Amino acid sequence: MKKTQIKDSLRNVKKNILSWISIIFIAGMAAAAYLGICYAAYSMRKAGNDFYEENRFRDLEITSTLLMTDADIEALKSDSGVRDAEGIFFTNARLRNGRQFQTVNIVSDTERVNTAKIVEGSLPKAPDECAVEQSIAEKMGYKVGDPLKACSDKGGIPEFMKGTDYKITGIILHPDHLSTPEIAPGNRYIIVTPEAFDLEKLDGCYMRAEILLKETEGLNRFSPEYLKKVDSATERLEKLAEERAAARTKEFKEISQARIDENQKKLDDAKKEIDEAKEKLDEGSAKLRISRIILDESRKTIEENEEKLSDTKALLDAVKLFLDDAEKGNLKAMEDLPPEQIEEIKAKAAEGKNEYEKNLAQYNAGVEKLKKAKEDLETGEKKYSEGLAEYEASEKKYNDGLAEYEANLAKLEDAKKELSGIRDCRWFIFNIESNAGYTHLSLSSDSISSLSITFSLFFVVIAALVIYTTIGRIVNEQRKLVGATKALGFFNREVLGKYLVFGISATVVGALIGIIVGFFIIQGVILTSYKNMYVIGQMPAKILIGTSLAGIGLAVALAVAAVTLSCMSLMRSTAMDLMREKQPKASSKEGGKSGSLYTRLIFRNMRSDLGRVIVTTVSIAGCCALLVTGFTMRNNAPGIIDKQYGEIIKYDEKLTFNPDASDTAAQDIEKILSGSGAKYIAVSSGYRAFRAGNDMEYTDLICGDISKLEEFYSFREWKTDNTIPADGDGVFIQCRTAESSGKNKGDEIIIYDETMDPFDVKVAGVFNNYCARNMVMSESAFEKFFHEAPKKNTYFILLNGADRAGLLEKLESVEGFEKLEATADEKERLSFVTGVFTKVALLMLAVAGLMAYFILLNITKMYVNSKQRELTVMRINGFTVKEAKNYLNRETIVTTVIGNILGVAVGALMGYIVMRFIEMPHLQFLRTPFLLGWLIGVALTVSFTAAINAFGLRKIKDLKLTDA
Amino acid sequence: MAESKRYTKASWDIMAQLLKVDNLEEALSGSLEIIVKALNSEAGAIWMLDPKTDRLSPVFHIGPADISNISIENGFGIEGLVTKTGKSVFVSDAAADDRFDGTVFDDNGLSTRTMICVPLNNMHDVIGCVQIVNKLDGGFFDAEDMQLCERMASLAAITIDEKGLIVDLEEKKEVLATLRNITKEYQTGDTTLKVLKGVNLDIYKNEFIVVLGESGCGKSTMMNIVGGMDFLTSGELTIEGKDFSHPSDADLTKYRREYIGYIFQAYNLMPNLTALENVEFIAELVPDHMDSREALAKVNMSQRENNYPGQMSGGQQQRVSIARAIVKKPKLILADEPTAALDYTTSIEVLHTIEEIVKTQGTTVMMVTHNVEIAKMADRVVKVRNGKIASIKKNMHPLHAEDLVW
Repeated sequence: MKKTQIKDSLRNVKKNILSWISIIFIAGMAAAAYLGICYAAYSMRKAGNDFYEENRFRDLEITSTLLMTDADIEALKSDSGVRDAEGIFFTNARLRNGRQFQTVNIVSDTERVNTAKIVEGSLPKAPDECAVEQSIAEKMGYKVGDPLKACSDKGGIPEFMKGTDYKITGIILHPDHLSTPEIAPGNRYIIVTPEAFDLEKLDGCYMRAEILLKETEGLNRFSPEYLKKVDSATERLEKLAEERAAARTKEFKEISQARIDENQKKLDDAKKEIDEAKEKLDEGSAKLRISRIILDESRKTIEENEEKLSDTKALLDAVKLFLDDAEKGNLKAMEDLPPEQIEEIKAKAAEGKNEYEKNLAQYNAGVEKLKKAKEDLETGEKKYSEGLAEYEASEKKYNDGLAEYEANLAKLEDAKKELSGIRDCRWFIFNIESNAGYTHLSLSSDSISSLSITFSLFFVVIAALVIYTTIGRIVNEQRKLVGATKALGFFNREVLGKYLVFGISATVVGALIGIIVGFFIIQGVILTSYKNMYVIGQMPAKILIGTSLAGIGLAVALAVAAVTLSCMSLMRSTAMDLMREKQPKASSKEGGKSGSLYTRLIFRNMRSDLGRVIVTTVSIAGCCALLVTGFTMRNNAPGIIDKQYGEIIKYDEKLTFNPDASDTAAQDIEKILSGSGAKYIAVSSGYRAFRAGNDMEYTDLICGDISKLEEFYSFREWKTDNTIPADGDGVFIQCRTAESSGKNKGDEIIIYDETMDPFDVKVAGVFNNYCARNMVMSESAFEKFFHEAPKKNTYFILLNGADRAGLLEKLESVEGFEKLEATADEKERLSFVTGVFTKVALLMLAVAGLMAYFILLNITKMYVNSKQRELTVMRINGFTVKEAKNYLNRETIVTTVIGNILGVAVGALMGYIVMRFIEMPHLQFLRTPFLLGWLIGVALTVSFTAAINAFGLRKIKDLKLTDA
Repeated sequence: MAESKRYTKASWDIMAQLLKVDNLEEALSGSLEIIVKALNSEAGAIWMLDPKTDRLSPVFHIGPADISNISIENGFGIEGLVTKTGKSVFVSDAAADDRFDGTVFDDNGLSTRTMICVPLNNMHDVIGCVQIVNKLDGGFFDAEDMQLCERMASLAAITIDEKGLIVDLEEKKEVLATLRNITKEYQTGDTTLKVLKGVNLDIYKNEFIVVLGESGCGKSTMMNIVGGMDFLTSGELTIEGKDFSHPSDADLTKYRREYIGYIFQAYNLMPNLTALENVEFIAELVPDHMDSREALAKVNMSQRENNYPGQMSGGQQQRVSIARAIVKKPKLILADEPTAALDYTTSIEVLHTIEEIVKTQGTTVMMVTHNVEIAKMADRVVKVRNGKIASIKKNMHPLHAEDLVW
């Protein structure tokens, strides 16, 4: 361009400065909205990736049904695509600090993969040291140097751990937990040294392996390229997994069999010993029995002899007495006897005495014998007692040995049974998408990107239309001038250049302003909204140079296209055509004859300037649509809070406990709950992996008496809103799962049990659920498909006036009690999440409002300009300002009405699409039309139009009538 | 010496003007302009005596004061005294002269300081007088000035006697609008642009007044002020006796609605309305309007009533524009160069239409034009120069549109 042409172009800008500024503003808004959102999405991904990169977040995580050996880890490391691999140990534990409880995972520290980021202090070096995640430290009030006690649910040493007491050496962040617990609930980590685990119990096997891949080095973990690389690596590692799993199965079976054989041998030996002992026992027993008999017989004989001796003694004593009396002649019978007889009697008595003495001697010998026999008996009894004691001890020993043997035999049988029933080892390879924090940030940034695409496309279309109309109007106003310029020998390109300068300069300036506004304001608001959702805090704002340049390029292209299109007819017309007064297209049929003069006039005005009318209508429609969309977002995102926590979830508290911790846990809890007057229902609730489509996902599988759940948790069928049937034959999946997987009633999905064994489960129906990932089953269906009864571990509670604090205090004393979660807290968390969308919606509303303001102002200005001559003539002829305004307003009313109708239709559709775009697998928004939002959108658009019209039409009052 | 040379030249110019020009009225007004210019005067007038009424009326006058509607009884005032006595009067200082009563120029916006008034003597009678007022440099007239005037008056009287000027002075006309010392200034940055510098003009009912002037002289501004389209900076504007010097916008709108019809150079018809609808569009503004079809019929456009502007020629559009202007039955129609964009034939058609409107509707038409030929059909021709009324000429015998040639 020549110097004067540049001067002319610049003066053209100066002359149409309001239109130029309008284009700047509109282009700026479009650029700000698009780029700001793009920057925000990029910054979120960048900040997340930086965190992951810094902590060498694993690309893959592998778990095995038979744990993982060093050989497995080495095999993984030797894979050509694996950069590094480390195995880790972990277990569950429960922390208590005063009245604060926290369930955590104790995880072994890693050196190279998935390393913890130290916030304060250092990582543990000794087995009795630990580092805690920041969220735990904040919740439990831990500081570096504090002692920490981590127990099992029963209060003992957690499984696989050596002890319970640790000293906190550091506060950390862990790459497994990018999201805060409010956003992605789940156990946070206590990091300990591997030596803190009882490695013997684990046979030195790891619970999972963390993998870093070579091919992902340098790639942003949130990029499609990264996921593609990981997918291909996963595919490759699947083969290794098969090999290793087979080897592990063989190894495991061999080890198990060897152990069984060894134990069998031991048991056999033990059996032999037991049998021998038994034999000996029996012998002893027989001996004892004989001894007893002998002893008893001896005792009996002794007693008989003793009795006999006693009788003999008595007899002897009587004989002696008789003999003594006889010898002394003291017998009464002798008184009457003659003396000889008496003497004879005396002699015989003396002889009798000798006999007596003999007998007495015999008696005494008998007594002696008896005494000896007694002594022998006592000795025998003593020996017997000793033998009996010995026997009884041997018998006890035998019984114990037998019991132990039988127990070991049972164990062995179990082990045998287990070995025979053991399934082949399987590896499960999880990519980064299985991580809740990653998924949340990824989905959030995707939602934001979706917003940028839908909203910005809209902005860009409107901006393009406005640029087209504005330039078109300016060109039209300068029609004669263009003709004259062409007549003077200017080429089309030279004429076009002036308008290109106008359009390009405005859009480029607009784009630059948009970059600044997008970077600082739009991005700032979005990043601040997400700040509290991630442990990394405020994510640093980043700019996308390429995208920004592309934005400017698009702005230039848009300007060139719009200017070229608007100048097309001018370029095609001859100089003379342009210099002549432009006449409206003549047509005798035009306009019709019906209606009032004004109606006809408006109709014809609109027909003759259809382009402007269309753009005006589209712009009004666009503004209205943006407002309707914004209000729909504003309502339908937080609208789910009351739906979810009013209509669906009705319980006040959710209590979880470990039924294995105590046999009486359930009874104890129910007793406390009943005592407090609270209403409750026990259900089984637990995270299960499932596969409905290609990917493995997780869900909270709730199982209970569906007919009684309604009062606590209202499962309503999708679309019909009827309560789901209590006897549903299968699992009820939530709407989002049904949508993403394409599964519906009657289809089958795979649900894994706790040991990751897959079960085909029929889908019994689909229910409404707005947040979280839930599935529900009846108890009978659970038993049917999983072949076991559900283990109740959760209570849904309606406080019913009960004091929560008092209740909690009592519940905390119950062994196995884990936590009591208030629905109000859940509600607040959801409110926090939806609040982001509300903020973004408000931002969009503000942008839409501002854009609407400038577009309408620009259009109104152009409209008044286009009608300036007619208005001047009207004013000269005596039309009042009001009448002149009404003349324009009539068309504005028509375009506003049509624009609003279109706007509501498009806005409703766009609102629906945007909401669907930003939905996440665990988050579904209201999809019903927000009628009030429509009305507000229309009211605002009408108000905007009216206010801007009033502002724009002020010019009519100042029209220079002398210019006609 | 220089003065006498200038006067000699002026005398020759006057002679040439009076002798060569066929149209006596133009000759007289041209002569008056020459003498006003030669004497560096502010204003001038040629008064003619109507023997039937024995009253004097100004047939031509130059200067900021519009004295068109003034009529003086023979013998009264300085003009009457000169005509009655046939003797020249020289007022060197009006303020100190008892003969001066200030009823002519002073009452119409021009303060008289010095004056020359010489009789128009033909062979037999005094038929009027020539009057020159105020020196532009603030000085006073002298004997030489009066001599030049007398010479011019003699030549004029002889010419009138030879060529015969029938003076048919009309009765005093009813004034529709009065402009007194109207000024209009525009502020452009730091500078103030004075477009009108004190305009005095009376517009009469049922007259066709043509305003001539070079571009930028202020004629359109003057018309805009008369038409209620612009506000005056200072001065006094009365319409039918009502003061519109400082009206509200609503008053002006009402005034335009009720009083004014407008014919534009570029027609300015509503492009999306047919001829009839364009007329109806304006007719609906006032309760007592003419039938739109009748208005179209008056401009011979009935046959095109359903045509859109784009389907009509420029002349036809302008005739529709005239119909639109008359349909309200306005008291004053303002026409801004209505034939500027038209060819001769079409222009004549349009002018004929305007002539008929004045004749049949009793409407006043004020037309701004560059075309001096059109001025020949006007009742009065106002020349505007440098923001002031340079002259007002009363056409004794206006031509018909068909008689105009250019």
